[in-house]
Amino acid sequence: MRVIWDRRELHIKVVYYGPPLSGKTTNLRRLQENIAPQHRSDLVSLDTEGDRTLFFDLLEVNLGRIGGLQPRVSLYTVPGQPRYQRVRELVLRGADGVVFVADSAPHRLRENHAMWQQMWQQMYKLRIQDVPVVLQLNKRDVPNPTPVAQFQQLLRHPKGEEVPIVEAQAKHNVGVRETFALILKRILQR
Amino acid sequence: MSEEKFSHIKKCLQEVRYETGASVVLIADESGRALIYTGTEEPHTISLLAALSAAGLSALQEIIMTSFRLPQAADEQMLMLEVPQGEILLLSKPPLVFLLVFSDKTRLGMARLLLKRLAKEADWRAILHQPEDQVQQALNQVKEEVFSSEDKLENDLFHTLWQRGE
Repeated sequence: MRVIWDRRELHIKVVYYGPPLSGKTTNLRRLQENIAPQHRSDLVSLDTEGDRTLFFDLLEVNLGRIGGLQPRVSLYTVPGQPRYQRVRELVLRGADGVVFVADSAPHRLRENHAMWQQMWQQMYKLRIQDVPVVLQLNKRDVPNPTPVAQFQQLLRHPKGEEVPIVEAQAKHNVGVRETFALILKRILQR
Repeated sequence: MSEEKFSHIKKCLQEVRYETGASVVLIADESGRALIYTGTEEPHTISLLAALSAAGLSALQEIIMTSFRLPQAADEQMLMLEVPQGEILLLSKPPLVFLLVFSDKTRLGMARLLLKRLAKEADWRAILHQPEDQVQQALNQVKEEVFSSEDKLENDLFHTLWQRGE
């Protein structure tokens, strides 16, 4: 978190992390659609033709004047594809909070786990292991979604702390706002 | 960073902008956060410029390391972007990134010289260092208002942010 005093700005960085096609970019698209234009930037997407994130997506949200300051939240997504591990680490740098977007399809469980492990490895490496993490279980509308309890068993905080969970269907604008509100609340409460 | 140091660095940036006629002079960190800037752009644009500059230079570092088979990136890199609308000069001096957006008055030689000088002279440790109590003070100001009542965050803040209900 960084304060730019002459402009009375508080800069907060939130990263949406998760396996490929889990809905990270969709979360940002829904936020862009729902947040009033005067409070946000356009969504910048560095993606490939196939709509896969190549580098990152970025949306900036201006929370207005609070307590005499202007908090500005930069929301990033990372590319989910395995070969972009270094890019993920780069984007994760300096994060004040992380949203892990998991895919509820049963056959994606292993990928969720691998990406969760990698996220924590990178967070420890970057010394941001103590920033708040929210787990969003996306695509709850798929047939036979992985039960929440199974996610809780598999995606554990390395220190055993409780990770707040939001069930979502980002495509249908369900749980997107709750996830954003929750990570923001956790960051501000620190 | 103390207010005095901040003002000094800010003054240096303003001088570079004045001397070169640039529309924006910006210093960001490697995570893409704008640290100090001077210019005519909107804050949203500045944030995007900072993030994209850091990302672009990181990609450039990878290109250099791959091309020359270097184990790590060079200490300093400069990148010039030239488009019909104008030019942009990017300088990476880890852990900082400098950006200068040309106006029609800006000359490359001067911009290059002054940006390099700025990168050399800027006390980056001072720019990056932000005492924890300063951040905490700012955070407390925000917290006090946001959490003043149970539903303040949800009712007031998100009501303002959201343009339509779900």
